[in-house]
Amino acid sequence: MKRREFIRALVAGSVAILILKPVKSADVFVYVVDSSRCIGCGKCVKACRAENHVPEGKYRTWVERYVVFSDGEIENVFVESPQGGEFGFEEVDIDREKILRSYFVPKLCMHCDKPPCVKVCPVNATWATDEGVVLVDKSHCIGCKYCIQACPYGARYFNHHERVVDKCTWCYHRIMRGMRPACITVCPTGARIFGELNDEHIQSVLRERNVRILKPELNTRPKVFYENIGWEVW
Amino acid sequence: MKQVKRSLIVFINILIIFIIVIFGLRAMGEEVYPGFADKLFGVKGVYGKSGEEKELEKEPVHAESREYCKKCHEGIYRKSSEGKHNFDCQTCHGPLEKHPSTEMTVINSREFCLECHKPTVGRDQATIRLISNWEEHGKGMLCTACHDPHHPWFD
Repeated sequence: MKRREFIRALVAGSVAILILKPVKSADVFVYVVDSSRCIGCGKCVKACRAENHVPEGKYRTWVERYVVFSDGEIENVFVESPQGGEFGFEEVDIDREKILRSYFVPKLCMHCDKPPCVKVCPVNATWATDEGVVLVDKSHCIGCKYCIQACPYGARYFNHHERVVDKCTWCYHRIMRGMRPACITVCPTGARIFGELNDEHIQSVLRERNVRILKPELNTRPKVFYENIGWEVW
Repeated sequence: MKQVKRSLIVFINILIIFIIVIFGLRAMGEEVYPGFADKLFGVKGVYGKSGEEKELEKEPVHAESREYCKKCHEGIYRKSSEGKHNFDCQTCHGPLEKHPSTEMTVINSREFCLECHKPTVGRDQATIRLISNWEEHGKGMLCTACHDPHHPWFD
């Protein structure tokens, strides 16, 4: 092949790649958490552990308690998550009179639209599917843990038994069979809602209620939305 | 002078190829090209199986919803959907696993009920009925002695 032909083929190839660029499908999943309905019972953490065989001491989803109190001055924030909230929460050592507000915040992988964890993987073991779910391929992962450091939400953990990084998959094996994630299934108060973006209920929630995302300044475009949380949730 | 000119042309060509490749990949979006290893133009990767398929091989442990439980336990299903404990059976009874062949157990103790009904900071009375005098209320007895766990209130 002559050089001229080679360059021509190369340019044609690049143009073909640009034209064949995969288009994201419409049925992207979103997750909405109503913090005021969460009672911090830890059933979701237990269900997730059973469903996904999460090792002891690691969490795909966990519950945090935010207690904002004032000592007559500026707001102080006390955050705790004893054992990921799996076995409930004890009383806090703060005077009830001083507490301004307190609530539980269930946390999980945000399944960002622009995931920073995917960018840093040196072996392409993690990627975002067409449904917007960020997954890890255990047979590709070399366990370098770069993605754990890249995740601004602390959603990834290292599985010491399999020597790979693991994370919340929104129960990919369930949602693709038309089921709901395990944490959604067991939540007794309906604090967690899950569905496709063009689902009617999800649409009405996103339209009518005041939802926010975590760390919007990082431009990760998370697909987990929170309602009834204060400025202090980080 | 000729060699310099030639090598310069080669260098510029390499540079052009480099720029085309990089801009091509950038145009596809930074989030797209890390998936190349397993999927390119819809062709499955060197491992013959896409990562999505590997994830789908996992079997669900929890049942889809309580509609599954309804098939056998319809009385309890109807009773619970009329009351305030109108949520999934697996919340208290644990994951289904392979239920008809394996036993499902639920801990019948005060502590189990108090996991949710104990008043604590952050728990809202509007969402859940909190037992403010939980230490005295029915002391020494099981909650289930008076309250039906599937329909806990008397009215």
